[in-house]
Amino acid sequence: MARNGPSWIETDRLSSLVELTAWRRPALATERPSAADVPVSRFGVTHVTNATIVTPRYEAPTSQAPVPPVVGRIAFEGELEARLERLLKWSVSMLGATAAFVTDDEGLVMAATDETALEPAATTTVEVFLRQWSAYASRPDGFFALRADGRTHVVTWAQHAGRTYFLVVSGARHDDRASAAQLSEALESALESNER
Amino acid sequence: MGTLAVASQKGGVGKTTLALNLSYAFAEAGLSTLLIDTDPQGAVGLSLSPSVAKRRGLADCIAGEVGVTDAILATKHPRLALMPVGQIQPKEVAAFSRAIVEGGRLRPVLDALHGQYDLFIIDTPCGFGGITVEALRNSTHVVSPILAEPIVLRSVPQLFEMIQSLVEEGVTTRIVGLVITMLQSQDPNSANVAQELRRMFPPELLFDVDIPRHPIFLEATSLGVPVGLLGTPPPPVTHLINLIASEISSRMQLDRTTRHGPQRTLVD
Repeated sequence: MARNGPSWIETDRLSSLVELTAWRRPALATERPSAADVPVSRFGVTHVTNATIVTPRYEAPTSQAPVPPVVGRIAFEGELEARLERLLKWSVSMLGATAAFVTDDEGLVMAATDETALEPAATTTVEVFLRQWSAYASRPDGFFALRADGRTHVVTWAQHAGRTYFLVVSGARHDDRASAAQLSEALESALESNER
Repeated sequence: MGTLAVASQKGGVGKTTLALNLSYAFAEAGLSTLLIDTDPQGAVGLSLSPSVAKRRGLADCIAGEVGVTDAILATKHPRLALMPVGQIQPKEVAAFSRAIVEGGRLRPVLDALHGQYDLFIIDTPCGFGGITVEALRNSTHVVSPILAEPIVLRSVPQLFEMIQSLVEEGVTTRIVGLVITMLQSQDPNSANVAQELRRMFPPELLFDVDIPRHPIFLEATSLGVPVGLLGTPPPPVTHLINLIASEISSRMQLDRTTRHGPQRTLVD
């Protein structure tokens, strides 16, 4: 369709050319696996009111492999180490991520997937953030998404026994609010399980 | 690592200015950058200094008279290097073009330097002649300056037509963005072109900022420097270029952390 104006350009033709030749923002996944049943926190409170999730403008590079199915009902039983290991596997699966780790408020990694050790750049970036955390963390729990090093990290935190703990899921393919909220609750549940 | 070609069908749209200033911005941002001039007119050298214009470079390397590393000129910026086009007599331009187009001589130069830089930026001659097409074939991404004037706007589809023909050959290069240059926001015709571009193309193909027509660019060319070196602090337009460079870096997924250490912190 010819048109008058400064361009004289057939816009329909141009649109098809753009489709074929231009860089495009990688499409965000529109579906995610159904989340497993996440234990509700002790008081049944939804810990999402302070959500400050930031959706990155450009998705991190991801493999084309299908997102693995979410494992069944997550059960936080046993010693803390086993519970955190379970939490990490569940988190990575749910977000289609590549790595995850749990750290305390001093930055000490309490548990990590094997892949995390191979991704020092991602870990370093998040640790940089965590080091600043005490300066502006005034809320007991919550979550946000952080894009750094070309990756999307979903960070959740929760307090337990007077300390703050962080769950960082790196290379996440899903960073929607609902998923992050579930992570936040799962982290708290994993930390508290032995007190139930 | 990536290879970014700066290309445009029209001449005089700010291609070399964009290539030079983006190169400096990438270097400032921590990316080890090599700016390669493929324009037989030696536009990069002409923008900087006689010493660059008279230096040996790509053409001499392709002719086998100097090695690849000898064709590179270090700059005072530790992460920015130049490969001038080198010495080409007017009667040699056609032969230089044939060596690149028919002889495939650009690829070996890039291959020899692979891994030594985070980013190659290739400044191309205007139009889609053989040298430009060969540069596009050997690039991962293309950025095109679009002068904010109607005649330039009307030539934009030719860029996409050219890239489409390369894609059909199996070339993987993609247009990473269109930079609106020399915008005169107070001039209705110029402003209309910018408005038309934003209407025609998806937002992610343009940038949040445009480059204005500003005398600071003439001053920079007169002094033979990127605008970022014109003062401390640098002039405000430097910020616009930095934003565009940062956006391109994100779209190309360039990674500087692997070469230059962890992110710095503001406080401990």
